[in-house]
Amino acid sequence: MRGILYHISRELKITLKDKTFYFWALVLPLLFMFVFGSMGGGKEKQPLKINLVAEKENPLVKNFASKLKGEGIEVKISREKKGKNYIYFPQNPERNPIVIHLRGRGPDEAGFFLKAKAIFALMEMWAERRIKPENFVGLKITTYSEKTIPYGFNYYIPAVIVMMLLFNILLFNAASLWRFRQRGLMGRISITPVGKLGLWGTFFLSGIFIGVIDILVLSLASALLFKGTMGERPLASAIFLLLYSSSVSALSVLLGSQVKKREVLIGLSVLGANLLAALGGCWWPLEIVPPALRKVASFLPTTWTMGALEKIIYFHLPLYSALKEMSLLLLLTAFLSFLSVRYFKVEKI
Amino acid sequence: MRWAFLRSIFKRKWAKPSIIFFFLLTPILLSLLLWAVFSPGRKFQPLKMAVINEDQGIASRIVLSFLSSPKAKKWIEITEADREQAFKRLRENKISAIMVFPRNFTENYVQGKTTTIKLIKNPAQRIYPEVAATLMLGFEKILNFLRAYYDEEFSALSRGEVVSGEFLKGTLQKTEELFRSIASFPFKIREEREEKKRLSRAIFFLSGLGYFFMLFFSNASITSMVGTRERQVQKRLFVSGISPFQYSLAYHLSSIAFVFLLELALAAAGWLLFRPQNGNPLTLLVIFLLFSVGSVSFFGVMAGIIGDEKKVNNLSSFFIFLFAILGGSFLPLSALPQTLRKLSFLSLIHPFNQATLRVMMGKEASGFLLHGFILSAALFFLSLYLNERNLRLK
Repeated sequence: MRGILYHISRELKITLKDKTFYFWALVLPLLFMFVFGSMGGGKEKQPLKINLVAEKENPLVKNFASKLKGEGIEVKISREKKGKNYIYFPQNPERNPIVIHLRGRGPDEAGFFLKAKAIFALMEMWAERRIKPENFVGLKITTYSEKTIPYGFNYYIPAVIVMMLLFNILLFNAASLWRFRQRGLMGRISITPVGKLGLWGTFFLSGIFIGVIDILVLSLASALLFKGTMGERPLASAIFLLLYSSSVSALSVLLGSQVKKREVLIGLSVLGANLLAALGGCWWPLEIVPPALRKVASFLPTTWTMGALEKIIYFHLPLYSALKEMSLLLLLTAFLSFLSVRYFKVEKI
Repeated sequence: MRWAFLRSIFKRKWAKPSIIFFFLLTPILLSLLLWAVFSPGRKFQPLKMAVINEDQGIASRIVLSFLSSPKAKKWIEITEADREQAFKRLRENKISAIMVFPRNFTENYVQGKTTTIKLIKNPAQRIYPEVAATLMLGFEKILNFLRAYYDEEFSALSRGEVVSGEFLKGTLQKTEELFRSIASFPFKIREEREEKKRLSRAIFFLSGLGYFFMLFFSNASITSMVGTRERQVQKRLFVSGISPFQYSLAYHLSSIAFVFLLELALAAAGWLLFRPQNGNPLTLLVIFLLFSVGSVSFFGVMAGIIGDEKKVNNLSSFFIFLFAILGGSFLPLSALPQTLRKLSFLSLIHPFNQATLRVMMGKEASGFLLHGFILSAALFFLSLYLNERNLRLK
């Protein structure tokens, strides 16, 4: 055991001395958090801006604008047809149609949202000509457990951590194991009391430790810089991320001990990490993903982790609420560990 | 110029074909994925919502039958559930919101007493809960309008009055009038999409991601010159009569040719996969060439200033990601925060990516081309000068 601990501490020291590690573990994730978090509204939810284009201002336009407005929606009346999406209100709306202009690239949701808003606003205007409705029926809109929906930084911080754990453990741990094989150190150490299994344990645990450093550093840095939190149960989130790190670590050991060429290892890690992060909901909310892709995503560890973090952070549920995701991750870790032990190579490349 | 020397450097760049394969495959696969998620042709997924009907009266049933009618099913999928089931589905992220009809909803509605429908949004989703809120706000207005329109009838019903035939006739007339005015609804809505200028999302992302991955090749290709310098390869070469200028120029030219050919390979794959409608091939070739010169020279300048391969590589990673973010490789520039958007001109990717996108849309791109040309030329001569000077000093 002492031998294993010695090797782990040596490997971690080497990793921590490597300046590249700080770029991947700190600078890059913080850059991503800043950019994607600001894009999503920063510290608080930004109002949705609707551009209402009217050639001349008249009471009808103002009335239409007031009907479009709502909680979290800002309506700006302008003369020019500019902006990505806008609603054009003609001079005589009863003769000419009201145009919902969408730039072709936008996903369908934006169009649906604008159309629904416009139809309801027009219906209200039309109804008001007949009768003044009273408020018999009210609508109370809340969020589950009455908490505010996390936007901006708070939404992207867990996603970026999940993505960077994947990149860092795969790139650094697998590369470190590969270097050992290339230098012929594996064969030499495997005949010491540490043994082959001990060597496997060294790299498996080193990967987890890289994950621990990442989780700690990123949680603290994001809390200090962006006032982001890991929810009301940060310990539960951290435990789950640790479990996820162990799966990724087992995968990194498998890759590091199977792949012969360093460039293939880097290529596989970059490709795999990007695809797993994108499909697992680290880049965009899975709700907008087509059903077929969502089906594929349901088999991925990134999806399970994001799902569990959603329960813990957004729904404020305890760790055991993510029992299904936890079991799946444990099973995956066990399976990958079995494979990596079974095919663990100590021979020099 | 010693051609044999240039050829040998160029040949060495292809020594690791597997990394070339992976770094060309990654942007293609990611573009396909992004296209699948953000393609404009993608259909709107119906909003999934659970309803807890504590009322079970006629009013809530009418609303629900309307929401689950075949026409509405295209937009919304309603499932009735008890409280426990509904919240379980919400926690499992299977639905976007829960609608709760309170007890005595119908009774209060008929009697004209205030009654409140509750909408509970899923905090783990961003878009669909807002769609649910918009729809429900619309329904709230419809219900209020109908209650006010049929006020007499509802009042009579709540007082338990026996309705006469004449009263019924009047109600029918009112209803007919309502249907007539709905049929002659004065406002029309037309949806308009900018079809002509539309560029496939896949090409849009492939362009940005392609430039991003090319920066890795540019960096690795030129900074290896510093590595050979550390190994004193130059000294050996100078003995064989190759001047510092020739050495530096050969390294620059072979790196530019290497990156340019990789760009062509990526563009060919993109063309085969996504079949773009527009795009002048000659202009695109010029853009790719300028980018190859600019990107190789940028990292050449860094290598010339720093002079240590590892340090250059560390700093390069930072610049590559920064350029990609500011240049619109990961997301459209319009989605960037205002402050970052203003800085996009600093990105090496920006002029080339914008020029490529404009050309692919059939638009004019001379401004970005000129920007790219000046940038590339300035960087090329600076890099050549710095690296030659360093070699002389050594």
